[in-house]
Amino acid sequence: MRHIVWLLSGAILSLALSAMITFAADTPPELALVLDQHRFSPEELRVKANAPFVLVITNKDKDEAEFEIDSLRIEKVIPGGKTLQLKMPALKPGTYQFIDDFHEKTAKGRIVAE
Amino acid sequence: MRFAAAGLALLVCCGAVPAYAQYAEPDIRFFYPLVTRRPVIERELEFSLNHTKGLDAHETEAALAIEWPILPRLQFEVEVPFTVLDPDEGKVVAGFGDIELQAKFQVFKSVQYRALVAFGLEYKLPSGSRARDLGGEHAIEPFLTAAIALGPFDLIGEVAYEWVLNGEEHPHEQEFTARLAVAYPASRWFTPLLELVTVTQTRGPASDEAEQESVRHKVQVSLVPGFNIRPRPGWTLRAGVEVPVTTAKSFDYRVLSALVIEF
Repeated sequence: MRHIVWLLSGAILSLALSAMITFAADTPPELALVLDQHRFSPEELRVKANAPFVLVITNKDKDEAEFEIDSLRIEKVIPGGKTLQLKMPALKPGTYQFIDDFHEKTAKGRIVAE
Repeated sequence: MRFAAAGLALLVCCGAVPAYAQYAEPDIRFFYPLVTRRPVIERELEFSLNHTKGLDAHETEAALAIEWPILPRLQFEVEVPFTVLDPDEGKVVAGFGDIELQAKFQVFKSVQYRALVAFGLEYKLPSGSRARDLGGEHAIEPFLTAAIALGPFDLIGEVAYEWVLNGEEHPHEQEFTARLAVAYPASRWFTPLLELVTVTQTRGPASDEAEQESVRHKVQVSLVPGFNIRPRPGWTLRAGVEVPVTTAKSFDYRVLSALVIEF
């Protein structure tokens, strides 16, 4: 019985601690990016160099999209009608072109890290 | 009391959620080597066609494989080969070869450093006919594979050890394999690559056959120049040729090709 009490107390303490840790950590800045009719909006995003950030990508199209930054060799599939919060790595100063791999003629843009 | 304390510590550790945990991570894209296993978790179909000029036969193998992630970092694969064997002496035989099952678990992923590490286990079922030389090998092969992007180059390395579990030969064959693949993604559509492969048969039955005797305990080294082409998004065609560069060898050359379709 004692063990159960200890474990229960531990679980509650763990939840409280995890909540504290979560809120105490730096919240990364979020940038919104919308894909509509196979075009990104905005087409240019400016971020702080050498600091991670979060891209909140909303795919308003019915088709699946694949967000891709070729120079970083990263990609992520975004299902149609869905929003994805994508944790991005810290970028060195520079310009990074991105596309929707499935509609690259129209869906393209750039991230400027400065 | 000690159990309770341990349980408490475990719960605290498991319960601590980093601020980033709610976000998705991008996938890291690496090229497709011809023989080296990738540490990438994939959901794709692969059609491969290989032709080997062996020491005493020509062998053509067509295979269909499906790779499916059941968890974000755990993937299973099934490969079914069909083999046509044309021996220098004797009749041409054809049939299904050994079915391969593979589980791969990605243990490390760094988007910042563009690096991946995975380990896995391949299990070969003796579904091919041993009597007709179409396989019949029952084997397991654990492997470790890692990839990193270094400047303009992508590197993928792999080590594996295979144990053959069946057969009448004693002792059963064992083989250590190490592979290194390097690629230069020249564009999104074309990536030339080069692989270095070493295979060492560490254990196996004594044999009177000169070829088998020559490779046992010797390092067989081969080079595999090749390329990747992406004819359309989600499709990758890879091709190349594996050429042994040491006198210890088990084949003369091998032409490798595959079409990979992500879905």
